[in-house]
Amino acid sequence: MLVTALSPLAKTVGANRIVRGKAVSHPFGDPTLSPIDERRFRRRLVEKALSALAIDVDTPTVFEADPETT
Amino acid sequence: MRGEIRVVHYINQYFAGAGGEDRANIGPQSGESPIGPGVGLQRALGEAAQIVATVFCGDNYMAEKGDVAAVEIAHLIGEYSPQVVVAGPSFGSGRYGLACAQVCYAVQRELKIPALAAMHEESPAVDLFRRRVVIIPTGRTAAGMAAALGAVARIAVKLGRGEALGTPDLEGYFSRGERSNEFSETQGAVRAVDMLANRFQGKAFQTEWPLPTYDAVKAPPAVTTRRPIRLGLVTEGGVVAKGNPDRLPSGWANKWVRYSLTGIEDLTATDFETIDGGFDTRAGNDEPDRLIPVDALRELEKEGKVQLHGELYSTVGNMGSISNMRRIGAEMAYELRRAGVDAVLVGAT
Repeated sequence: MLVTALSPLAKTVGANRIVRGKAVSHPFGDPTLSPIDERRFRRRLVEKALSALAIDVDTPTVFEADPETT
Repeated sequence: MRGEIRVVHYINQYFAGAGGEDRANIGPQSGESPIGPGVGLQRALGEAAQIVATVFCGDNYMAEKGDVAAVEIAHLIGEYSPQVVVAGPSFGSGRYGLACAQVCYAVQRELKIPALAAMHEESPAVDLFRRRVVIIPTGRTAAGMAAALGAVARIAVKLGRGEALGTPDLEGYFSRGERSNEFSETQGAVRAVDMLANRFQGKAFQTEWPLPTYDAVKAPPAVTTRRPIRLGLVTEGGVVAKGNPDRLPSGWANKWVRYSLTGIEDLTATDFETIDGGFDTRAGNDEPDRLIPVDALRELEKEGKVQLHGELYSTVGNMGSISNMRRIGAEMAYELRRAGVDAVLVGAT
């Protein structure tokens, strides 16, 4: 799976399974959070990405993260 | 009387009538007349040019000896003092197409005379040589021989005369990636609005700049294994070992690097950094797991949900050319496949 903040671009280029990352310079992080909260955020994002593996897709698909992770 | 233009024609063992795959190992040979498709080529050339010799060689000989053989052949060709060299048409052939392009390239370098090849666009030689050699598109098979020879003859005569070729669209050859300046009677803004108007009205229009096409890759089926998913890790965010010992460039990358993750529970700022020139690297340098989440994945690994591949693969996407990134992706995929991963997590910036 591709985790990137630029999910619309990833879709155009044809990546099949995409999860929206937090930002270009830190897709798996959020420096505005406390370290503990950031770890929690990262873990949820990774779990979201892994869950996308278990889903069949026909065309480039963006798997939206849960509200609290974006 | 035939025109002054002397042509040497390069073909392979099959088209020379020397045999098929069983004779693909033969070395370069020549004859002082058109052979095989050369007969049709001479007809197409008419009085404008004369095929003074045909040089042919086995496809395997060429495939194995590559440029060395091409240079050998170029010198053999040079003995006939041609003004232009024609190689092929090779249609859809892989080895023969490469041989033709290599011969043309060697002729240009060694003899400083023009050369041209002709083949189908899917031949691997097109992508590899189109910038260096004039290559004329043909059909996929020799059923298109007559059409191919007509196009070849026309361009061969031009090149033999020392005339400059017009644009690829006009003359009919694969674009070489060249850009030349020219003046337009009409201002760009006017041309753009005209193009837009045509497009809206359903009239024909021609883009001045074709956009790159991306291949559509069929999505692999879902991973539904009950055991821990074997996961490869790839980043294009320029994550490197501190100090960048392998000198991964900050942009325009044509390579990738790999780091062992054995014994690594998370990516620390002491041991890793990012050298990507395409974004603000402070957040990634402070905490490289923000670029590729080794820490979270190790947690999940302890819970039996994933099993991390032993290495992190890293490159820099910043200003990356599509062709380089394609190759890098293919190389990484090959290694990950060999390692038996089920899936890959790619972190992109």
